[in-house]
Amino acid sequence: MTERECWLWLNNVPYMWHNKIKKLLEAFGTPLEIYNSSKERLVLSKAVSEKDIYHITHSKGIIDPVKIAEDMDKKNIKFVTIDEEKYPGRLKLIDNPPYCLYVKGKLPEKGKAVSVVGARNCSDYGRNMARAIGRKLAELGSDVISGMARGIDTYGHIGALEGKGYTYAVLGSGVDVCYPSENAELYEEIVKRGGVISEFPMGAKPEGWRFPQRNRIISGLSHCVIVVEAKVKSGSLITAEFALEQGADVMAVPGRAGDKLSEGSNMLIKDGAEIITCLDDIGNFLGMADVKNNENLIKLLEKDFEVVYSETDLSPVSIDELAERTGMKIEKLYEILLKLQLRNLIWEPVKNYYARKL
Amino acid sequence: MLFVTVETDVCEGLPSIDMVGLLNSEVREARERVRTAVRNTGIIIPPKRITINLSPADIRKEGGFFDLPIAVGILCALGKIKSIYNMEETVIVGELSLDGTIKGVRGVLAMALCAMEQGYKNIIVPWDNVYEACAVRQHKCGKDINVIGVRRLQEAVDILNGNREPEGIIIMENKDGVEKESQKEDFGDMCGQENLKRASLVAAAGRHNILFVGPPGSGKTMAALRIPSILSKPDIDECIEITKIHSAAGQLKERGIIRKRPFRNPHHTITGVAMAGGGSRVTPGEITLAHRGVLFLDELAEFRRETLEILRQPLESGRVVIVRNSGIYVFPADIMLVAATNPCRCGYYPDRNKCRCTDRDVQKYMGKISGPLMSRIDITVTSPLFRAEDFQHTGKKLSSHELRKKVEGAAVIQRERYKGTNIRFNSELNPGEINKYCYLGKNEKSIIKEIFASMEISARAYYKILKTARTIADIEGKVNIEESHIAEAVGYRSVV
Repeated sequence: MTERECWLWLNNVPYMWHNKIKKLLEAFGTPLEIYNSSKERLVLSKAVSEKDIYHITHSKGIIDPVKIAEDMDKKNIKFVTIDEEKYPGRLKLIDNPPYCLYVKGKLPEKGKAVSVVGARNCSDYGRNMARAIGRKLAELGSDVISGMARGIDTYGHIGALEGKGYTYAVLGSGVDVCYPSENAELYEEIVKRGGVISEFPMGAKPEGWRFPQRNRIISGLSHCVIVVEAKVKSGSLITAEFALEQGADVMAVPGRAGDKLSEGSNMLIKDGAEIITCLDDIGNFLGMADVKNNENLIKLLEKDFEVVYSETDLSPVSIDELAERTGMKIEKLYEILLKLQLRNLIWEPVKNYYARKL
Repeated sequence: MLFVTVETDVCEGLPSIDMVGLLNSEVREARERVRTAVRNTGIIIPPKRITINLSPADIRKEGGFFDLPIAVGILCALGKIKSIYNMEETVIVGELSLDGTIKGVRGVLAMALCAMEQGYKNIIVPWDNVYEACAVRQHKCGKDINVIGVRRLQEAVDILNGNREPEGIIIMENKDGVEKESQKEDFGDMCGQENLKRASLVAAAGRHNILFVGPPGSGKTMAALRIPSILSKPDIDECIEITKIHSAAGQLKERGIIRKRPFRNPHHTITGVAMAGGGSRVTPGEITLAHRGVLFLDELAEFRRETLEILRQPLESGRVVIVRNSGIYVFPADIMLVAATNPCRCGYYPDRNKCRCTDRDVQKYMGKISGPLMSRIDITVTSPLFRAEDFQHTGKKLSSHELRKKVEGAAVIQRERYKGTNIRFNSELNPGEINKYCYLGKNEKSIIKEIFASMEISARAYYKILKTARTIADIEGKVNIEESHIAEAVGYRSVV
């Protein structure tokens, strides 16, 4: 059995995960050694529990790495171990680098990589920002890494794809499991323009405990983590913490004080994370030159248009509020809002609520 | 409608009263009521064989209003009544109480109207229904009918015998009362929520169906309740139609004719039968009771799916057809649908500080309202959460009275434009007619093109936008649709 096949086998043993593999490796050195060890040696090593030893010894005949490899070939999924050349260099440097990676598409290359993470139940403001940041990063020539979860993650990916950049999704399930299922289309797009990555074997279900695990890979692959919207207790903050441990930068998008969805990101800023007040902050902070300058359409606006535009915000504002602020009649506002939309300056994320476009 | 003829025969034989003519149990029971009522009036029925026939024989007779005609029939046959009226030209309705009192029945207006149209000269009705019956005399069809109201059987006998003058009926044209009623709810009471008000005005002017979306307490129900106050006042024919339906359903609370548009507000647990009409004795449902008025469905997404789907056909054709084995019933159902819903289950989307629903939850909630129903709703409008500032809003608030003037102005324009066609309101236009009546200039065409290019707009949404834009132009008194009208209509498009 080759080294690679041993890794594949070990990775597929039931209930096996990073920490257990780590302990086994400390005791035996190589996966081949683990494979060849008798039950007695495994017991003596005291590396893992009896139940795990049972799974290890019994899976030898059942789990056939050759067959799994064939299956992966069919699905166009690659398998990379930590010892191989293709394994991303950055990831090797972190505390607990995953021993194996399953990849659909490709792995990130040497260039800059920035991750965009945040809440699943994000606001329209967060969605707008994540998308704009993803697009901006792509335009700056950086890879965008995220977790393909609902909300911010999804829009980070979408933004990167819109900016014609490369984007990578690190999943908390097997690479062949698209979770959440409504992102099926996005999943295919990411495979085409980047890759879907996971340390979990094929078919692994998206169980809760896997997500903090995968977060260390997200931060490990990135030079910088951008937190868009996060509550105080959230996976995004875990990712940010990993980033700090791993020596990556952390940037955060501020929210309003008291806004629950932004409490986490605001806290990061308070603790010293770099604040993003406009998209140019990203390029400046990362030392990346702006490829193209943002066109300034706003200068050309007529007076009424400018009044309305100046009252809009990154987070959506209802038409009633705009009427209140501008003192204009509803029927007049509708006309201006439509024209601003047609000029691509604002959008209508929710019906009758309008937000500025970045 | 067909009038039943009561034939009575008295002959020698074993004393009994027999009734024939395909009678329902409540009609059959009339025998006992009539016998007792006649006796308690002081008239003795001699021990003879009395046969009563209700013709035509092949139609099932239902309802409690045959008591009085049967009693009068018997008394005529016994010679106790020698009528000064021609009984061939007289319609009699009424339910008898055991002591001879005549009680009100439902559907009198419809009967009186029919009797008048069919050329009957007199109608005798219970006193409770007399104002209702008199209302038909305002209906201009070139005919007239003499309405006689009676309180007791004895009174009916005396009047028919000519021993007593029918009691005079004073119809008070109680205009003040009507006005007061409709002013109870006024748009002037609403602070802020200009968007809701404006959309309500547009909807009322073109009789578009409208959907309010917003968090709890954002004024959706308040606005809906006020919509009848800005609809054009019903004309006399409409009043009679409305009254007829309510009378037939036994829901007439007013004395006389109803002079305001109905506002029906069924709870969301309503069944399909209650919505469309039906039952063993087929009665009109909510959708018919709202005829010529507003059907308001609060919490639209909470209604049962089947119940909502029932609305599809009536919203299209303005009538509801109910088929039962007893026959086919066609009820009028020309309504303006006003619906309100929360944007999501918790109600606070898109306020992410309060709303914990996922995007999928939000979509799922709104998805409960089916596409076909949404396609019949021209205007969708969102109302934001009510804020303290709205109370302090000092600007001049438009009252219902002013809004109604605008609605009526738009109605005049529409009537003028659609002269000689079946169309009354812009909302009734079909795609072919839209192309004919909604002329777009060069600028307008180009903006429509731009909208198509940058927003996801279906062909159906396009027509809805044009219809709504037409109404807005009518409100503004413009001959042609202008850019601003289109822009506003785009703001009212539905997004689900």
